[in-house]
Amino acid sequence: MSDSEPLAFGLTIDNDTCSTCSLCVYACPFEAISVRQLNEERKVEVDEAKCRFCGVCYSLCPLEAIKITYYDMEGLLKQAEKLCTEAGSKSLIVACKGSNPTDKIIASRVGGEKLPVLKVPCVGRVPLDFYARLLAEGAVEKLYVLPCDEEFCRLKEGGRISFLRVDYLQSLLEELGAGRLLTVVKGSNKARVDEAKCLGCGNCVHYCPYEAASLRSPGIASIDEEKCMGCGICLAYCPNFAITLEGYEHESLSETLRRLAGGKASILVFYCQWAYTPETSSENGSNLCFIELPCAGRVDPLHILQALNLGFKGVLILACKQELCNFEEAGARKAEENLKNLKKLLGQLGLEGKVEIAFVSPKYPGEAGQALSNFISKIGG
Amino acid sequence: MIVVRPKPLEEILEFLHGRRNILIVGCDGCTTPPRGLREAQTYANLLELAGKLKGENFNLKATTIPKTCDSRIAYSSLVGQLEGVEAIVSLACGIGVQVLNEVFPEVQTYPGNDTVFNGMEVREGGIFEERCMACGSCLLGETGGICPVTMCAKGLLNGPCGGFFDGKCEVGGWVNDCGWVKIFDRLKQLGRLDLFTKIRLPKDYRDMQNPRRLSLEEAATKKAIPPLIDEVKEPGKRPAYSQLMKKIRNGEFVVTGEVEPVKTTDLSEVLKAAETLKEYVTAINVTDNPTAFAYMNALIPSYYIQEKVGVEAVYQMVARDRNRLALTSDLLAAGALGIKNILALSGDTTTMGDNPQSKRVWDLDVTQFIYMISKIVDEGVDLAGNEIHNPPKFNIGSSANPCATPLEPEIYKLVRKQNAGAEFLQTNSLYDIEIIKHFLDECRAAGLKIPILIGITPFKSVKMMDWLVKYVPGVVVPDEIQEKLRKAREKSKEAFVEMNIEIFSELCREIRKTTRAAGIHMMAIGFEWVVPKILEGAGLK
Repeated sequence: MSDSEPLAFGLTIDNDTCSTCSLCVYACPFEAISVRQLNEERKVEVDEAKCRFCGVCYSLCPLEAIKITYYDMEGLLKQAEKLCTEAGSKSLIVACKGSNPTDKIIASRVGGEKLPVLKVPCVGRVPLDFYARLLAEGAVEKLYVLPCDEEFCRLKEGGRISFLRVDYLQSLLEELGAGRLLTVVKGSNKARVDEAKCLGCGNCVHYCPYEAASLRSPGIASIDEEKCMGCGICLAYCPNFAITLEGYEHESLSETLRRLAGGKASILVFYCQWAYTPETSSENGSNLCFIELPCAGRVDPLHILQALNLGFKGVLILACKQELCNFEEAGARKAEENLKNLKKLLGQLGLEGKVEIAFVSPKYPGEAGQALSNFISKIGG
Repeated sequence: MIVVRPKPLEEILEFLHGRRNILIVGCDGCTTPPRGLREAQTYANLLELAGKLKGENFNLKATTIPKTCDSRIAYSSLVGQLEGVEAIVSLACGIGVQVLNEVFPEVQTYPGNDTVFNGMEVREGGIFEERCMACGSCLLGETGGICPVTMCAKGLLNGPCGGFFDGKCEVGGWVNDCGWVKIFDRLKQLGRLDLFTKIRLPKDYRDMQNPRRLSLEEAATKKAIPPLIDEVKEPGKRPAYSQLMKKIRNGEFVVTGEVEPVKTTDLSEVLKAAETLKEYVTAINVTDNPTAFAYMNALIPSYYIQEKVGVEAVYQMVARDRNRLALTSDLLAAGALGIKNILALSGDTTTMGDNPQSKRVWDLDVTQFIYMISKIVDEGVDLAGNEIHNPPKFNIGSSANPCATPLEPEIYKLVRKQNAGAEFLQTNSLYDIEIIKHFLDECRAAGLKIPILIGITPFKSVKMMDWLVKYVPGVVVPDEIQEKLRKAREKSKEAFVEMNIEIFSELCREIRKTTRAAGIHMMAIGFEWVVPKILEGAGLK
């Protein structure tokens, strides 16, 4: 991608609208926003390098002066309404994708009901207006909001903010006599060790970026639930498939692969849920198959080999840029290391060009699309 | 853990050529990186891809065994899965592969890995380091828990050698820690330097006789580690057999030279060099395959320079290439040829030389070698105690490295060499009078009584000087000297030589006048003609 034009940053501040109230400056968890005094004028600026594109500034701005390509309000509303209409339901679940990978998990959080689900990278970044408008317009009568546990939020403060906001809206609605229309159910999705399968090799202990895994005598690993952030890196290293992370188990991903291989697509894309958001992207060529993972570090070289044997012409990994990796920078690095080693193996068969990794960010709309089209032209559709 | 390295696919594909039903078998045991079910499946997938490309008709299955090295477990794990299987690829260590071949003789099991060593995992970066060679005589109790057999590049039992600087080993380019400096530091920390200064006797390799076998009855009854001995040779007790030793004992400031036989059968260069040095030196060292280059056996030119040129030889012998048998044999030959001085050295490791693929011997380290020569000369017996008829008469020298840092382990080691029977030391090349003084003071303070000859190497060119300063850690050439030589070279070649003569004459004079060095060892290979001029300038003729 080095040969192309620099991509446009997906977050802009409309300085004509901005009142320089500085709410965003204080709220930004990454200290990326500042106010600059220019002669007589004050100006709010975003440091592109520091910005992790979490969107908290956008969701807070009282004047809607911040535009972000990630959570387009009208787009979200349209999607929500469409989901409800399709399902014939007046209830909607808005869920963080980080802690809610499967329908089963989501249903369990709302008492077993099967309802339409709108998945977003972080519900903490959904503006309050979104819920208010859905309820006001009558498209939805009951909303479940499923953020991550506060400690589990990989975008900092998302869980807490969404809880406070929704709680505030709910109390307003109750004062108006509307009853309970909004329910918040926090959750997380953490790795677990199947003790019967654990060999006690200690790989998970060494590859966990959070020091959550430990090995105790007689050679059984355990994962500290408090510390685990659900990246799934350990799963890619466990020699006996003894670790599970709901929605991303070895066998369930293999199963997905086999299912996808039956179709017409010729290129498989593993993507980190933070690096790429298909909901907001348009590159869904018919020759592409996507598998979402909690982190590029979860990409298992064995799955890549399986995919090639199943007939995929190429496998692309969309990973975060290392400095933007939400997993202590470990995920993107592990993914790159693993791929390098796999390329060495495949290189012995002259197949190293079949697999590639691209480091992309939703911060730059179109970046992922460019990586995809580059790969498609390399593999030859 | 047993560290393994996956074999190239090509090798495995050759094993499997023409077979159809193949079972890839992982091992959940001690191989690292782990080679369990995931790896077995990974290999099954890779080989499937390979098979498609190469037109093989592979039908691959993957499974794993909890512990392949246990024949009973291996058998019961696989016995139900072998129907129709034509070949097995085992991802276990070499032991596992042999077990499978033994318990399932009807199917051939091939290795999927090369088993490389018993190691420790330094996980970040996926690095594995060897820590145990299964030598059969664990010294860790007496070396502060650090294994010299694996951590020392030469596997010395009485280290360090002179090849360390800043605690790093020269082998592999100053990256690895010197195992013996670590042992020294650890023993010092434990207050057990007494273990460091004693001589460790050589290992008994009968324990390594393969095939090795252990019965549980034998356990806990066999004492296998070579002992540390309290024996101390009193310096100066051995008669002076050589002219060199006689002169040193008489208190004369001696000069030795050096010649280097190379890859040739032609002795003329060496003899010519010796001829040049003859009138100016008491004895001439003859190098033994320096920096592990395969050159002519040093004994032959040693003999010839004594017989034909008429100057005494210092026959250098490195312990790198010969076991105690061959060393004894060469010592007897040297005795028969009238050699009087032996300079015992460890020798640079083979990977530095021109036959880097060679096996490194080091049956004895240099301290043990000195100990063995002492036994031969003083007691008339070889290392095993066999009597020698008409034993040779040698004076024994060895080397010292004043540039080693930290200096303390180097000096303790020199004391150990003295205790083993070394009678004089020659240092590597030095250029700084302050370093020389400091070193000699430290030696004296540590109880090192044997005479020391300071190594001097004049510079053949500015390039050589720059190379030494830049690439040989520990070589300190004072800026003033560098500056003078550089300026002189800018003038002319002749001026450069003149400056060399001036600088090194002055250095020799200084050493003689202001230090307690016993003499000077001139190393000027290919540049011998300048030696007489330097020595004349120093008033040493």
